[in-house]
Amino acid sequence: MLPPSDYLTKIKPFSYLDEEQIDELIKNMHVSLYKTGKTVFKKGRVLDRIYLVRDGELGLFDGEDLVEVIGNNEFTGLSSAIKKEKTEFEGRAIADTICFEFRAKDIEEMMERNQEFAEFIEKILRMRFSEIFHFEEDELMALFSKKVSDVIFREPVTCDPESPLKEIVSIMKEKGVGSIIVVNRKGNPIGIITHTDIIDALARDIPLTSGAESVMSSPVVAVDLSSSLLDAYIKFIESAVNHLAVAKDGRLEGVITIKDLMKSFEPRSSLLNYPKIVKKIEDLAQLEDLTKDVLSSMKNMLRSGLNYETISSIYIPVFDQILRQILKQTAKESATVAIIGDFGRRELILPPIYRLLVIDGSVENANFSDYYSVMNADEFLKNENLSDMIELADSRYISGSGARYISFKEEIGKSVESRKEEVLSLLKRELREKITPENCDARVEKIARLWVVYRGEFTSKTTSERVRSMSLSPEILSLTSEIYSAIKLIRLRETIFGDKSKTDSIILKKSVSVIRTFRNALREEMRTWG
Amino acid sequence: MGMNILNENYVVIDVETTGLNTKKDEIIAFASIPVRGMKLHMDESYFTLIKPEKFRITSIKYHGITENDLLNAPEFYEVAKKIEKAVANSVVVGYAVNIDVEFLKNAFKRKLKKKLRTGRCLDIAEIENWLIKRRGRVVNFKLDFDTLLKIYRIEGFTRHSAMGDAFATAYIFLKQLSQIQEYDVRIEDLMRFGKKVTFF
Repeated sequence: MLPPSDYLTKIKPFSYLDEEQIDELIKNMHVSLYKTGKTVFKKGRVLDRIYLVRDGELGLFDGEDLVEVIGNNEFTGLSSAIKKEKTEFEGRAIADTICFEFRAKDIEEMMERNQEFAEFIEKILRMRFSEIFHFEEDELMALFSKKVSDVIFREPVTCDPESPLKEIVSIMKEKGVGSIIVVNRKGNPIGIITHTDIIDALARDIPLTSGAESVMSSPVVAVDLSSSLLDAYIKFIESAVNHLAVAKDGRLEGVITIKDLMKSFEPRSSLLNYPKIVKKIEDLAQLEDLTKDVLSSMKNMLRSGLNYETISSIYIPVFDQILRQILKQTAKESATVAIIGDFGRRELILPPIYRLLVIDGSVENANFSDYYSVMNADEFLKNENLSDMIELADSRYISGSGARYISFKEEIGKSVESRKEEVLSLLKRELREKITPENCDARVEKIARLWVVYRGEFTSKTTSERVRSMSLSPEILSLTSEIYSAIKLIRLRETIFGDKSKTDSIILKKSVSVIRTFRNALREEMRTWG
Repeated sequence: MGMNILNENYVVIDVETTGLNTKKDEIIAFASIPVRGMKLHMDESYFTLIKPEKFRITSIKYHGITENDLLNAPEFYEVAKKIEKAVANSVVVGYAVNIDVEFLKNAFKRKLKKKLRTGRCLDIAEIENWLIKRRGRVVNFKLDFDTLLKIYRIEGFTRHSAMGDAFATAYIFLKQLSQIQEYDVRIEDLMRFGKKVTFF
């Protein structure tokens, strides 16, 4: 093993190579030190090496403008060295910088020999920003992609639906477990009994001779044995339970507890506690404080390299729960409430402004917090403005009568459907709007919504899902949805950390051209409709 | 001026031996990495194991080379030309480099009855000593290899193999060169302190 292969094996994409392959790259490597201000490569050249910054900072300059900074363990020169394109910028050391320089020829050869290595490099070349924000392996990311079957879970302790409560208590004591899964004759889990259920039963004077079925909570929340820990994490948050049944093909295989998961996630497990806490708080001011807590927990998550969709799917259930708890205090008995806007599409924005639409009944203290705005559906729709109605495609049920919500949404959907020609002209008008770094994500959201609505779909989906369902070339669609996610992540980081990094500014600039390509492709496609 | 130093050809070397006695012990591994124009040229580096005449290896715990590794290695006379070429026309750089060079010279003398011609020698510990004094500080600690690795925050290199040590040495030397450039110093000045050193 050659030096410095230990170092390279920790860096993507070299981590995909085996020892021998890394050694081959090292054999032809140069290690160069550039004093501050020294030019590393000029603009307009085809490079024969790629540059990995080992120590220091390399600036990419357009004339005197610093466009991008390549820091430790990041590399540059790929698109020139591999795609044989002329460099767009001049590379100059902005601190004393040591680079590991690999021959383009060697990298190309490795790409032929190692598929994962090739895929990663191609990903960079195609600018899949959202996935390459962090070059180094990330712990949290690795943890989330672990399987439920990888972490130790408990052997299930089970009982029949008829087992008397007394027997259940003694089994729990004997086996030292906090929960028992109730299974039917086929072995399918039909309910769960936890300490809380037993205390509840005693409080309600249910006799110790009654069967398990009468005290169990059901249905059991279960995850599949092959699910990722992320799936389990989200299930715990969504359903606010302490135990998840682990099943394989519907049959009970074991139990995973929130404590098991917390052990794996320490010290990043704080989110797992929120659902429990939320349920107990009834004071509005405290709920608002909790919202702030949740926001501050976001810092690690945003640094973790998780993508926007994943972060949204982790946080939206938490915010939803806080919201439901607030509505318990403020909504009148029969009020039916929906969420619209970004949160309606399950897309996280910061600050987390929840736009609530009251379909029936009323909600007290309409402005109970900075984070929530409440509108009355009749008020919202009084002018029968088509754009407003189309926005309701993003709506999602939150509390009250589910049936009432569905009929409301169907009604709106039908009247939008009857004005299809107007939808088309709104879409056409939207496609003529100017795209800037400031508005490019909002443009994609609007275009995608108008498109699916025009196509007759009126259900709430994320923008990425909508984009991917469009009838354009798969390359354009996947690049657009990736760029969209990358922009949304930048927006979140901007709010949480106060400013954006130089790389973020570059991505925003480049996004504009990607989104323009997407928009132009849509125009072309629509022309063929005649 | 600084230019002088930048234009010089350097070669960083490291040897592993059967023991510490430069008269009796033999070289069992040699590694060299050329340094030119602030660049380590790994593509021109050279590494070889060398089969000793007597298998009397007392230093396995330092370099991890075992008798088994050496059974099929070339003998000294087979690699002598390459070693000669590697160190020719360059300033030879290393840690405790005088000892390494002495081992090499003795091997050429004993085994080939030949005088090895080398350029002048530069020791990275001595350079560091010079740099620290130049900054007006006092060296009140031992400047051994591990200390140098710490000063230059070198982690994750395979240590105690000839190539690993040569690489770490070259990396340190590169960073030292960069600092030396900022002072008005000629290569001859560096030589002066590169000469006489005691290490153990």
